[in-house]
Amino acid sequence: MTPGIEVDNVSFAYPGCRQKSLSSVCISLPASQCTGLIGPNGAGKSTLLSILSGLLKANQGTVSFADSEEQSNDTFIQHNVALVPQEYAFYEQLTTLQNLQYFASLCTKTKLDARQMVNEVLTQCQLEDEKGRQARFLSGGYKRRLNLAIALLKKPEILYLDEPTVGVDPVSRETILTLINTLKEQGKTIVFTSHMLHEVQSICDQIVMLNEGRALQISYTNKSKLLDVEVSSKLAPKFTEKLNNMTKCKFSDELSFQCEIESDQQLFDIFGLMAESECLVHNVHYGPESLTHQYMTMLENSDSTKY
Amino acid sequence: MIQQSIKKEFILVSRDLHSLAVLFILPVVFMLLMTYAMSEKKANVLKSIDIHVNQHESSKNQTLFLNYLSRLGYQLNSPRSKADASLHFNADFQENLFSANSDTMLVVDFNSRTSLQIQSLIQQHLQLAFARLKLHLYLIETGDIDDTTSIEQQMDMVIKQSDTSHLIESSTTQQKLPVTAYSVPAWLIFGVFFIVLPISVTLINEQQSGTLMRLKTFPINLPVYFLLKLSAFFCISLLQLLILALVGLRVIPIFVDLSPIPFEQLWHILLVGIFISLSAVSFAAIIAAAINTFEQAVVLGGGINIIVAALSGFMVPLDVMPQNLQNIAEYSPMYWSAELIKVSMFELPTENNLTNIIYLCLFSIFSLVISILLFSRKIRKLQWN
Repeated sequence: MTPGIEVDNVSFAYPGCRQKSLSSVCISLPASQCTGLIGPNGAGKSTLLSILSGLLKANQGTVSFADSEEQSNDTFIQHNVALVPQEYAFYEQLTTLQNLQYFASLCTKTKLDARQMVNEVLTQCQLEDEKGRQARFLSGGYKRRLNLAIALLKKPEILYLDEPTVGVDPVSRETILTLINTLKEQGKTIVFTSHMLHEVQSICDQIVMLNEGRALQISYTNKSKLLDVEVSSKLAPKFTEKLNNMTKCKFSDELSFQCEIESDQQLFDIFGLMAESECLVHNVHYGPESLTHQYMTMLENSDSTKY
Repeated sequence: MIQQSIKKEFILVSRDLHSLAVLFILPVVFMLLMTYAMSEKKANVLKSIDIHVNQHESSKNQTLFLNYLSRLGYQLNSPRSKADASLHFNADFQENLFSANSDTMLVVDFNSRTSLQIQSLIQQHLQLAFARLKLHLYLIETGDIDDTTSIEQQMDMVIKQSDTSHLIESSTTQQKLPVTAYSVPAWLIFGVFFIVLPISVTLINEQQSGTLMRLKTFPINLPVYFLLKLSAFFCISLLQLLILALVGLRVIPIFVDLSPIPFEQLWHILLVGIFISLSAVSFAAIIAAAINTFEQAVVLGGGINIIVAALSGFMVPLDVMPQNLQNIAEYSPMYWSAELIKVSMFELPTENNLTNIIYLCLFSIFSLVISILLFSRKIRKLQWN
């Protein structure tokens, strides 16, 4: 995996604020992949995106771009990086087309190029039908699409999306997520923040979790699966001991347990042990570990799992 | 990019009713109202002044005095509560008229709502009526007035004798300016300088929506972006000035029975308008770059404009203001601008034009430099909401 962006020991505190918004964050964001940035409100996600897009300067640490060659970060960012902010950062009184024409004029040299680029993003974001409508009269979904379309006018190699699907209907959400997937397939490096964990899980190749300014975990989704078992009679101490030797297990009470399964063989072995121990199984659930579960666990253990 | 920037600002202003009202409706209403208010002829003003007369007993001389006052146009014998002034004749009015001592013969009691200007006018006319009364009695005494003629004929003769206006010739070589010369340039400039509100509003909108922040990620230098914005507003300001000048030259005179000013003057106005709009936009740029909220725009932008307009003699004529305030006006860009418009509108001597244009240019350069510094500072401090 080629690293696209290297964040090395980055710390940041807003002026006049004693508490750091980011504290010694070290992450590597692979090129041509989608990285999900998750965490509770105030965790530092938007601050990290602002630093990655050059809007804020880190108090400490560095951000380097793999393809920047000899360009300064600022020059590289201006030409290769686009940010889709949470806010509707466009002109509400202009129509969709006028907005795109204006922003296109900032990143192209000729009128022809601008026109071509505008047409491309209108199609890409499925905004053709709304191009004559003033932005203030667009629905929330179309506003989000316009917000994204403006960023795409730069033809960026790296795209940061700050909660791009907040407050949109399912159709627009699907359009936006499909578009992000398409961009990923085209080889763009994407960093995506969202509170919709199922969305993050469905489109991201890796996930970084932020909490209180620290990057708590970098994990690859869908890697491990969980086995949840409920039994009708108390678990024997011998059984629990053997189970613990086989895999990482958690026992909520004497009638249930949860195991992390890394291979099919491991699963068969556990079922074998259960048969051997004559466990009376009441309920079994087996599947990928949900990001929500990981997220909640990480939050609970945040103090002990700082990276 | 330049074309798109200008187009964008024109559309934003044209779709914002508040901006349109501030740029066009407000100044036109001001020009119209002030011109109409100032167009009231002196005779009409006097007819609207009511005087209450408080007489214990009416003597012949008191009646004659009041007749002279009435001839000036005053409405006498109004009820005291409605009158602008009340006259109280002393009992010894008749006897003391020609006496050497300076005892008071008449007391004037002004209503609290009567303005200082009207009080001054009434006092001047009371003295005139006294002078005519004394002349009347003197001419009867000397036999120059035939006392067998009617009192009206006698008064006509006294008024004719005491009218000295034909003895004075106005030595000024300048044309007599119409009433629009005192209202249109001032309120036109007042409106032009109010471009501070649309500039501030668009900039605050960009700041609050995150558009300004987003522009930081685009390949454009933001101070250049700011200058492009100001260029667009310069064009808007010039268009505004032209429209207001057209209204002031051609429409407003019709409302006050004056002939419209010829179109040729528009070219002169457009020429000086370049310097006026430049100074108005650069002055507005300082305020727009310094503020962060709509409230600040209204209070600072509107407030400063009103204060500068007052100091420039737009609300109270400069020549009735104290000398130190008159001196301040000479350093006001609004005053320089209004003088330029007045000279261009009414073809007055242009000896001060160059000085005023130089002042406006220097002021514009200074303001632009300050505004760019303030804007750069604002950009550095910009954060997501």
